[in-house]
Amino acid sequence: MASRKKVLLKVIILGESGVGKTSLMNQYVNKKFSNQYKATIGADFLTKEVMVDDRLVTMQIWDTAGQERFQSLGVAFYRGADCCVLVYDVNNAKSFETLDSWRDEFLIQASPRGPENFPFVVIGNKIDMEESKRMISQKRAMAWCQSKGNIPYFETSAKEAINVEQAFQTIAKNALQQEVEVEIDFPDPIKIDSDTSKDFGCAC
Amino acid sequence: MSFEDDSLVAQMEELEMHQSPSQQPTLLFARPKVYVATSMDNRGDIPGFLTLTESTNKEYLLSWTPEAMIPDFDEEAYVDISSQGDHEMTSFIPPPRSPPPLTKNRRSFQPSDYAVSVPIDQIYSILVYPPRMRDRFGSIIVNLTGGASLPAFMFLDEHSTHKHPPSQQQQQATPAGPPTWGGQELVDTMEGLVDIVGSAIEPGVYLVNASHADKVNHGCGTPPPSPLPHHSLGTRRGDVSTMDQDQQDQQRLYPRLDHEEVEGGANTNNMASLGTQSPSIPNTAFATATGAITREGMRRRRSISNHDGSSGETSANEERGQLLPQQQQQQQQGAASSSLPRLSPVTVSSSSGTAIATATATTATASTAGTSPHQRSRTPMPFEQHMDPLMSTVKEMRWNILERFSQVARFSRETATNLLDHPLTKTILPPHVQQRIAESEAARKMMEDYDSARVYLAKWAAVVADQSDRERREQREMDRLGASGGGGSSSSHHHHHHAGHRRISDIEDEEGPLGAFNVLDLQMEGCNIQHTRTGPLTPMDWFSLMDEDGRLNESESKIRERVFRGGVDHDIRIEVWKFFLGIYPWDSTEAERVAIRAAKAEEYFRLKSEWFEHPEVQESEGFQEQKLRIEKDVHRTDRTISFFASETLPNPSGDFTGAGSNENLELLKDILLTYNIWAAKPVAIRELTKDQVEEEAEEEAKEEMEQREEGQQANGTGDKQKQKTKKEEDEEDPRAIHLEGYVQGMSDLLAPVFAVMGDEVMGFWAFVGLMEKTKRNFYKDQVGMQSQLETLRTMIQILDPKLYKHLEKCDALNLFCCFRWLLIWFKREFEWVDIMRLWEVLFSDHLSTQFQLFVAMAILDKHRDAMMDHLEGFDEILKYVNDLSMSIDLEETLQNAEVMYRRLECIADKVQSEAASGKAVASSSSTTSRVKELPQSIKDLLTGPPLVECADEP
Repeated sequence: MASRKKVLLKVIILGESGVGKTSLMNQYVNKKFSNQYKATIGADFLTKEVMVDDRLVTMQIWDTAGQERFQSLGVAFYRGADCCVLVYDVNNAKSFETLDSWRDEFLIQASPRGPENFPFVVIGNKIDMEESKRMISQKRAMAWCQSKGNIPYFETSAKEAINVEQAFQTIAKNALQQEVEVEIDFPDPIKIDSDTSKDFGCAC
Repeated sequence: MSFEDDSLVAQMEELEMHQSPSQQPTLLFARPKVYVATSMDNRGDIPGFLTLTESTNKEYLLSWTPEAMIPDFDEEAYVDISSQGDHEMTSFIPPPRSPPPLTKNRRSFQPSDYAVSVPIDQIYSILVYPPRMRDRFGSIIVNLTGGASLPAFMFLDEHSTHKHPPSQQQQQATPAGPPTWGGQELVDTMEGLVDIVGSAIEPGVYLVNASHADKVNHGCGTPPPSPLPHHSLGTRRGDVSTMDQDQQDQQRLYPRLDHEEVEGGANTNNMASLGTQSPSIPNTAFATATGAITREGMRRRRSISNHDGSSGETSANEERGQLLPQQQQQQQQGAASSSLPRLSPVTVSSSSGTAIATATATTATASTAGTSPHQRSRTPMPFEQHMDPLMSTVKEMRWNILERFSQVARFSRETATNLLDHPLTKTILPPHVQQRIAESEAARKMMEDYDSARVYLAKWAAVVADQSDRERREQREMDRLGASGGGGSSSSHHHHHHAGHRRISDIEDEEGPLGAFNVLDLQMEGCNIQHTRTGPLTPMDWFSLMDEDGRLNESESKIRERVFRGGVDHDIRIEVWKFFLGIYPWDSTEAERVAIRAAKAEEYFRLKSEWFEHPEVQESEGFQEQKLRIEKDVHRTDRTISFFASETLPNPSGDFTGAGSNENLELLKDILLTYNIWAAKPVAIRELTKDQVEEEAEEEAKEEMEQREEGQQANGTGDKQKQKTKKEEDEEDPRAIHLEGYVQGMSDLLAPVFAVMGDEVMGFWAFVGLMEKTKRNFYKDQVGMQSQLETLRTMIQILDPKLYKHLEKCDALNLFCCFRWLLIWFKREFEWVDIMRLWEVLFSDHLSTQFQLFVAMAILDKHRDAMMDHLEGFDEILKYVNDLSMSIDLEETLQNAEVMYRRLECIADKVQSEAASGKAVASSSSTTSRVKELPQSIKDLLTGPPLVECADEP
């Protein structure tokens, strides 16, 4: 494996189609929202640099297609993930009910070391919709998260940028912990050659 | 937003009317919606106006004013400008009405902190990044002579190219040029005011009032002798001087400088089109203006400024001392005008609303006085104050450096050391930045980011390569036309499509599974491969093909070939597509077609009624689930296309982010729901007309191959259509099991055919026809996608073994980067109009029933160098390929796809003929494990009539 000069955190966003995976990613990275994001085909990612515990890290956030049909692609995308974000739509019960299978599927396909400790984060999105539309209560979602080993839970609105930053801060933090554990195998490759440093001095 | 633009322009016009140019600053250039990124600031990018003004003392100022500082864009604000006749006022920018209190070190910054205004003679260079990539923002970065850089200005493409009426007029002024955008326009405008040259080594870099030495450094020290210097420079592969179109246009700037009248005229057009030019400024004013800001003027100013401490920049000035004779002349003119150079960011310090903080500006620059650029530490610009000033500079410069390096053939990515040691860095990066990078660990780490920046590098490399490609293609095209025109141009034989595009080193050791049947062979055997693309089939052409009964009297295969080569005019798509999508038989008369339409309508509504008129069906769980799924996608399908854009109906489900619906969207849903009904029916029940488009591409292709081998190819596609229906019955796969309802991507496929057909019934049947070609992509087991990716993989292995190895190394051989391409026939990769053209080419089945694979191959081929040079991982390749979306040239791709087909065909013919003649093919290279026989999947691809040249090969 190639040595990394800086920390790259790979984060996978999973969840039913239409729960707002692309929107969450774009809100977090680009601070933009559009209700015209097309259905994601295949997968794509965005990167963002963040400070986590005084470390500058690069988050590589993977946005995936929501339809089960395309899950077979997953294995290529999930590999090496540091954190998995499970997203559902608080106004759509089915999207919540499938969280289990998304989680299982991820663990099977990504086969992380120590699956029991692998960091997940759950996001209930679209809390900007009127309360009457809400199908999944915060209590119910938190109960599920608790039952799965205290998964951190956030309720967000990608549309109105509510709680998105906070959710991803936690995602980054937990991913970094995972990464650090894995990283032990690799010595830090950053070396500053004193010779070359001298060269800088007369770089004019 | 456009309203704001319009009103702004109107206001400006009005202002111009009332202002006497002798007293008022003149607005020479203005762009709304120019964004400044506030990297560390949570508020995101700030919109503002980028303007170029001429002050009363003939000083030109480049300014950026945040929108927030121009409340309601009111006229009064502009009157404020006019009242500032003060010689010392370098900023015309009106302060806000109620300026925020300026507190030092506060955490949150106001947009006004980013306002900036600099005299253009303080600009050292401008880095111009046209809006090419996916983000659609063009941007510029202005580097000042003192070593500072202004924040990147991003031009929102929408405003600069689509909504701005002037761009049309500008295109008139430069008919050959690409559509202009703000950055380009700015440079164009400045061109009339100062000496600007585009660097020949670093595309996108424009030097302002450059010294002779700088010009030499940038490869433009002497005016090129040829009127089109870029052409000869660009033809060598990997030549660093190749540029993309925008930049190339700028290079032409050089000759233009010799003709100032012309230039002035062009600029007048520019400005007139912006509606901001003062009517009292005659064209000739620009010729004079060119001389107004000159080296001598700058020098004088500098000497003054050294007294008053406005600028500490000295050494660079000395380097700039040498001038071209032409400039010296300008210098004479310019000597007359002088004023203090100022870098005066607008900081609002009083509530009076009119006083511009000159004092602040002086303070800001005073600290730099008298020190050499190497020693002094630059006082941060206000926009940097909230972050480490160095970091902000580095952050902004980082991509620039990286981008630049991507164009220097190949740079090894070891450490930041290399970057800094590179001679180009020394020229480009302000010395103090270099020094401070060296000192700062944080900055060094940041530079190391270019690890993850390779995708970006690759893009730039591709842009550069594209230019030389384009030229080659143009040349080829000229040769081709010349040759076909009876000229028999001998030069045409020298152009072997992409063979020339390959690096020599690649060709030398290129060895695929078929051994030495590589590009080199093809060249040596004289297999001239050229595309045959022409213009679209016109309505006139089309109707001339009909007899009096409206029956086509041209053979189906001929028409297929014709459409393959040029597509069809949009006006007749509605009719022609019905033939290609299996709605009309090829031999139908007009009367029959009328009857078919009626029958199809009846059948459609019968199908639709199965759910539409049955509440119990609609209430079933399965149906509800499908409906929801379809709704979700339909509401986000092609909403930017006017046909699907309106929100005249409420969103019935209210579920998907509240976007309203419209009639066409509702019909999309109905069609998709009805398609579910149709697709679930056993094949036997469906009414398949005899010439329903083909069933299994593989089966058919095999058959076709046999035909070819028997020398029956002349009969072409007509026969194969008929032999097929039998197979359909044989196959009898219960489709329902495969498809199981709507799959994401189907709405993408439906939207264009529905829009072309224009009505529900024909939209449905056209979609059925299209799905017959693509439905395997959506099968539950994904077998269709897998087999396509597998075939593409084999194609790469044969056509470009080096690329194959690279993808293998990158762990990208699964070709998931092409998944989206193939799943929905490049729907997300091309603009709407291009999709229609591409699809009809794919409908034609002329050369291959799987021509989409050759299209994919052509795109990969185009970017193979960029990918091989810069990309090292699955993720990088995926990102790069995804980001090609909406930047791919369709015509070129189709040309190359055809060439790819012919190349594969040549290789196939060779392999087969050699195998047949029992030659010891393995003798030439014993090391390679050679495939003796072509894979069946490849044979299946080659179903079209062979190219004559190849067939004639000995």
